[in-house]
Formats: sequence, C-alpha cells, structure tokens
Amino acid sequence: MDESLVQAVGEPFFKTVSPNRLGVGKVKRALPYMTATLVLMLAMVSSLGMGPIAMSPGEIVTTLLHQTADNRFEAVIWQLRLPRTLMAVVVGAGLAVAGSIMQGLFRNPMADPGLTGVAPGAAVATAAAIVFGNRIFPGVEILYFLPLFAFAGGMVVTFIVYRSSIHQGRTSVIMLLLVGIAMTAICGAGTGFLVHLSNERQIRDITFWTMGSLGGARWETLMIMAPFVLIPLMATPWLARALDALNLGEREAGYLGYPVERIKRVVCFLTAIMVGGCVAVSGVIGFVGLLVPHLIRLVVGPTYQRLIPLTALGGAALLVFADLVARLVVAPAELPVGIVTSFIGGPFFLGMLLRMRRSLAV
Amino acid sequence: MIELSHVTVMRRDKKVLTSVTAKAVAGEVVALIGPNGAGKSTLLQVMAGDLEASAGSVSFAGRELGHWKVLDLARRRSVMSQSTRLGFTLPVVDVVALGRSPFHALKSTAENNQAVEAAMRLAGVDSFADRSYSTLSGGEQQRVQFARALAQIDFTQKDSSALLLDEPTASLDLAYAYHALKVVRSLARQGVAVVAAIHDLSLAYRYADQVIVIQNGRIVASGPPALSMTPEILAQTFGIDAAYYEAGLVIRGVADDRRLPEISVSNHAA
Repeated sequence: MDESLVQAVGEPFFKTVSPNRLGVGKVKRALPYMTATLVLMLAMVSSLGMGPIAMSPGEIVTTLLHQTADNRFEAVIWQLRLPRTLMAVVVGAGLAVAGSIMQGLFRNPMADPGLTGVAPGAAVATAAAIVFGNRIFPGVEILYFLPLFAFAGGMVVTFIVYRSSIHQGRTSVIMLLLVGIAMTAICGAGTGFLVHLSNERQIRDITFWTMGSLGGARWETLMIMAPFVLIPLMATPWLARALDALNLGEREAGYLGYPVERIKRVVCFLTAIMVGGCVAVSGVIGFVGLLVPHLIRLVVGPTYQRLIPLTALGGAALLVFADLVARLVVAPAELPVGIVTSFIGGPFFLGMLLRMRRSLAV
Repeated sequence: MIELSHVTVMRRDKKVLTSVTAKAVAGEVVALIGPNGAGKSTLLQVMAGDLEASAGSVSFAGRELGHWKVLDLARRRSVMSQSTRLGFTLPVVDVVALGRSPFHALKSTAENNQAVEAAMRLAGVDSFADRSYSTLSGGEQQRVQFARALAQIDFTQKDSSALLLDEPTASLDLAYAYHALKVVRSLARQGVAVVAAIHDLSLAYRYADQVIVIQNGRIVASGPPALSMTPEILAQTFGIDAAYYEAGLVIRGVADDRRLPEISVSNHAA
C-alpha cells in the first residue's frame, strides 16, 4: 500500500471499507466445483445404470472392474453405455466450453456455436465428406477424417460470422444472430443438396448428423474425436486472463498488454476445432454452448478462470442427462439428443431474448 | 517519456492529425484541449501505441513505440479510454483488478491486491467495491475505469511510467473531477508522466503543467497554461470569451463571432 500517495493527495477523501475483500474463503470457492463434479458423477451413474437392462450403482462398479458374473452387464456397459456416456461427457464439455470462449470473443452471451451457424457449417462439411469422401480418397476409411472436415467447415463459418458482426471492436448482437440465421440456412441448403446426391446408407448417416445424436458412439469414434476436444480444452485455461481482459473491449485488452489479434485467431481456431470434433461424431446438438455458460455465469460470475472448468463439468453433465432422456423417453426407440437439448434450450433462449428486448430494440 | 515528432495520421484520405510534435515528460501533467473533433482522442491513441502514425515518429522512453512488446509497454503505461462498456458485468473490484493484468507474472498476489485497494481508494470507489459494474451510474463507472487505470501503474517505478487519460472527468461531478485531477497531479509529482484530454478548461488551467491546444488536427499553441491558454487563443479555437481572475480562468460567455445553432422555440412538431 502506498501511503505516501494517499498523503500527497491530502486528507483521505473517502472512507475505507473491509480490507479483506479480495480474499474469499477457500471452501466457498471450492463449493461450485464440488457441486458440479457431484452432478456429473450422478449423471454418469444414471446413464450407465438406466435402460432396458437396469443396474444398481454397485453392479456398475463390479462390471467396470470386470468382476461381474453376468455377461449381459459386461456387454451393455463396456460395449454400449460406457463409450456412449463418455462421448456425452466429451461432446457436452466441448460444446459448452466452445460456446463460453466464443462468447468471450464476441463479448456477448448469445454467441453459441449452433445459433451462429458454426455447428451447421461443420455439419455440411461432414456431409460433404460422407458423400464425396470415397471418391476423393478412395480406399480410405473416411471416419478418421470427418473431424478435420468438420473443423474446416466450422472455421469458415466462424470467420464469416466474426468478420460480419464485429465492427471496431464491438459486437452487434443483431448482426451476430442474423448472420447466424443466414449461415444456418446456407449450410442447411447445402446439407439438403448433399442428401439428394447420396445413396441410402449415406442419407441415414446425414440425417443423423443434422439432428444430433450420440447413438453412433463406439470406442473407435470416441478415440478419434476426443483429442479434438480434450487438447483444446487443456489449452483454454491459458486464455482465461486474456478473455477476461477482452471483456473490457479489444482496445483495452491491448492496453493491458495482451496480443489481441493473436488471441482472437486462437479463440476462433479453438472454437472451430472443438465444435468440429463434436459435430463430426454427434451432429448438431444445439443450445449446450448457450445454456451452460449462461447458467454458470449466474452462479460464479463471468471470470474465465472459474467459468471454463465449471462450464466443462456442467456441459458434460447436461449432455449426459439429455442423452439419458433421449434414450428413455420413447423406449425402445430413441430420440436424437439434439431434440432434447433444443426443448430445454429453445425456451431458455427465448427468455434471454425477451430480457434483452429493450437493448435489442432498434 | 513520450515524444511525438511530426506525426501525421490519415483516416480515409483525411488528415486527422497534421505534423504534430509534442512530448510528455516524467513529473508533469500535460493537458490536451481543443474543440470536439479536434483530434485529442486520436493523439492519445497514437501516444498509447494503439494507432499507428502515417508519417512521423513516436517514441516511448527513448525507444520507437512500434519496437515495444505490448506486455512491456503495458507495464509502463496505463490508458483510460473515454467510456468502457463491459460485455459481461463484473463486481467493481474485479474490474479494477483487471488493471493489474500486466503484473500477474511479475508481482505477488499480495502486492497486486494492495495496488487494487490503493487504486480503489484513490478513485473513491472502495465504498461500492462489491457492486456490479452495470448497476453503476455513468460517473461511477468512469471512476471505476479511473481506478483501473491507476491500478495499472507500477508504484515501484513511478518515474518511468506514463498515464494517458481520455476525458477522465467528463461525467464526474465537480468534487470528484477536482479530486481526480488532484490525484493525477500528485502522481505526476511523484514521477509519472501524465497526458490527459480535458474538456473543462478551468480544470485544465488549474491542474496542468503544460497545455497543448489542438484545432483541426494541428497544434495551435503549447506551453504552460498561462502562455498557451490566453484569451486570444481560447477565443480563436473555442469561440469563447474567457478571462482570468485571481480564482483562475472564468468563462464569461460565447465570443461574439462564434456561430452556434440558433436557440428557437418554434413548434416543429406541429
């Protein structure tokens, strides 16, 4: 504390309040993390245990440890529910974190990978890969390259949306959402056109991509897409401070010593790569990137060091639960999980819009 | 500390600054005054390294501004823009703490927290440190941004730091406006080089060591207030009728030859 400065200014002009304001209790700080972890655990146990063959938590544990005598349990857990649950964890975390960093870049809570057209962009590129992939790369298993195509598609849309909705460091929400509508329409038309060109098996694949589903989860697909989400996820904490500074505006972040242009490129790149990885295996699952960061912000505030890990946990938990609902609600058939997240996220988005009505009015 | 030599800035084929030569030295408050649109903010942006000069050179601490790393520069110069809106609202204390960003890796948490506390106290925002930024009035928000700029000054080496302020008192009430400039001058006396665009001429006259008068992107006059803010120069650049009494500068009214929109009460709406 620089007393000389205060003295130099003269009499203390203002009263001082609680000096210990900057130190918040450790328990209080850890509470949201513990809660989010517990909710995720609960979601995962429910997801592993519920379905046509029900299992108790104890049976799940013995099966996971290969100690069970029941072969059906072994097959259901290891071949179906475990890869699917883990995929829901990775995709949910990826979409939610991608949304949160995209919102930091645009300085706006409406920047969601689905609403801005980034996910549909990734989807149309994936569809193109499904239809044309074997012609361009004959004899190659196209599955391994789907995330790359999805990433490229997402990247193009991210770039277009960014260029058109940010002017002099400020985001126009209206432009952001309208450009998102335009991109979604264009990408949807592209996907529809590709459906027309494709054969029956491809149509089934593409339809599944556009609705969003985790039904295709296998260990193989999980292994292919996981790095696309997990590696960027590990890199995002390094961006946390820069994203906090961007909250003040691009110019101010520059004044605070952040290489703003480079950070913007990195954020766009990471968003596209995470969304690409998710869309390649699970299609367009909307609103996770909108819903989760918004709710977490209401609890712990917008500071990214807390927001990113909590958003990852929350996104994972949400998608595991949503997938469970998708599996159970019309059993023995199942819904695409994108329908479930849209049922939750759509009204929520409408509520956000209504609350912003005054500031959005032209 | 900051030296501009024949700086010209073009914006869409239009010169917004023309051959500006100016400097800010450690220990002094330099006030930039001039009518709306004269180029004060542009000049500050050039000094901050945010806007590149089309011609001429800008140096900070003897080194070409373009050769500075952004982080090194951020540790030596602090900038407060005219108005700052947050994308997501934060408690006041967190906004001020953002001013410490350049020092996270350099100083201990305790030191950084102390600087935040000191800055909040100096700007008079410590009494509402926990309130959400978006619930504050315009003047209160401006004080928070002022505190953030103060927090970015490295108090251990004030004599090699610079503070750039764009209209820091624009929405403050008089008591806070005076107080803010008192703080600024006190910092200058301790070695900080301060440059502030100031709208209020009496404040500029009273608190600045040097005044730079800008009109249409050119420097009209510069020097100590008594020499650069003469009634003649003020009449010429601002179109006002000003005079000096013991209390300082007094604006008596609008100069006779200044053309302003007519004040009429005729009923347009009908």
